[in-house]
Amino acid sequence: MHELSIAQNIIQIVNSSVEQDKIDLVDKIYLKIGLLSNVLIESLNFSYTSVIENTPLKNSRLYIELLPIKIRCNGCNKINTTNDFIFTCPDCKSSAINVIGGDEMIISSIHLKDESE
Amino acid sequence: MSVITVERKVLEKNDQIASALRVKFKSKGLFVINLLSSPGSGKTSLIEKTADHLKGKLNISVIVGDVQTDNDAKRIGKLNIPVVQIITHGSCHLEAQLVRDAYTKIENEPTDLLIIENVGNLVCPAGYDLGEDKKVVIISTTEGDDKPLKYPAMFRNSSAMVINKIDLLPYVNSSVEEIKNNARSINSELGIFQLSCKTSEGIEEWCNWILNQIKK
Repeated sequence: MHELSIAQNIIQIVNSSVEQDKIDLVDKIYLKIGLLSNVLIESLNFSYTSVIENTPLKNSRLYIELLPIKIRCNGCNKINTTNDFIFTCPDCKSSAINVIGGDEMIISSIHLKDESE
Repeated sequence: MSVITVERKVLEKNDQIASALRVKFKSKGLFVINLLSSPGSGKTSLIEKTADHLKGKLNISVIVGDVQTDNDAKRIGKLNIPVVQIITHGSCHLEAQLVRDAYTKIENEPTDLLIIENVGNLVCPAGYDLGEDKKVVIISTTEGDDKPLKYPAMFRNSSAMVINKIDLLPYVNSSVEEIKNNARSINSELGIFQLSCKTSEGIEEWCNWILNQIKK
């Protein structure tokens, strides 16, 4: 359910990053979302599409890059990534690890169409 | 086509409000716990037991979030401690702005410990900073011992885990050791308490942890 709140936050950031007279040119919004951030991509796309209906952003779409979970082993100090929610060091098999990434939720860039397009 | 580089956190607005709240809480000398769990794990019961045990030692205030009803605020109000109910009307988590607004109603009450009881949900609340010092997650023995593996973000983001309803262990298939192992496989630094809000077993150790955190 928090995908709706996330969609609204995305729209606020787009509105504050793009000049008002160019909002209707926004085409693609690139996001990086970590696997640990509990975001359901289908639900986020659905929420976003619902919220932009009848607004100047109605022709825009989200492009989402999923980021893996990043872990650092306290034993051998190596950094690894996992997509499987397995919190064990693949090198030394220690379970004493720290999660150092994977809960990101970032808008990286916004692509605008040219006015002539 | 033109490209605008943004690199901004989607939840930056919530994070900004939470950071300001954290500064405010600190300036008032408050220790703040964000209490998280699925519905029915015992968040309100733990608050009742904690307030009862720490009576005379700490001034406690509570902000409680629910999708509907002020039942929890009524329960906590019986303890004669300041309490504010947030009704989210469907939203599945508390956001910093809601806590900021609720706190204005009790900010003049003498408080050492502020407990924010989040909406019962092991998913969404994990991502929303409320300006707390510590997130504490409760799991009860009736929920099954693999909850930490099913909801890793919540257990990863918490500083402590309370295993509640240990009085029911003879009647359920959960093992406390298994819950601990699963939780530690996600967060090796998690502080762990096992207790029963029904029998009060383990409440003292939990309350001592709070007192030690406040001394720090």
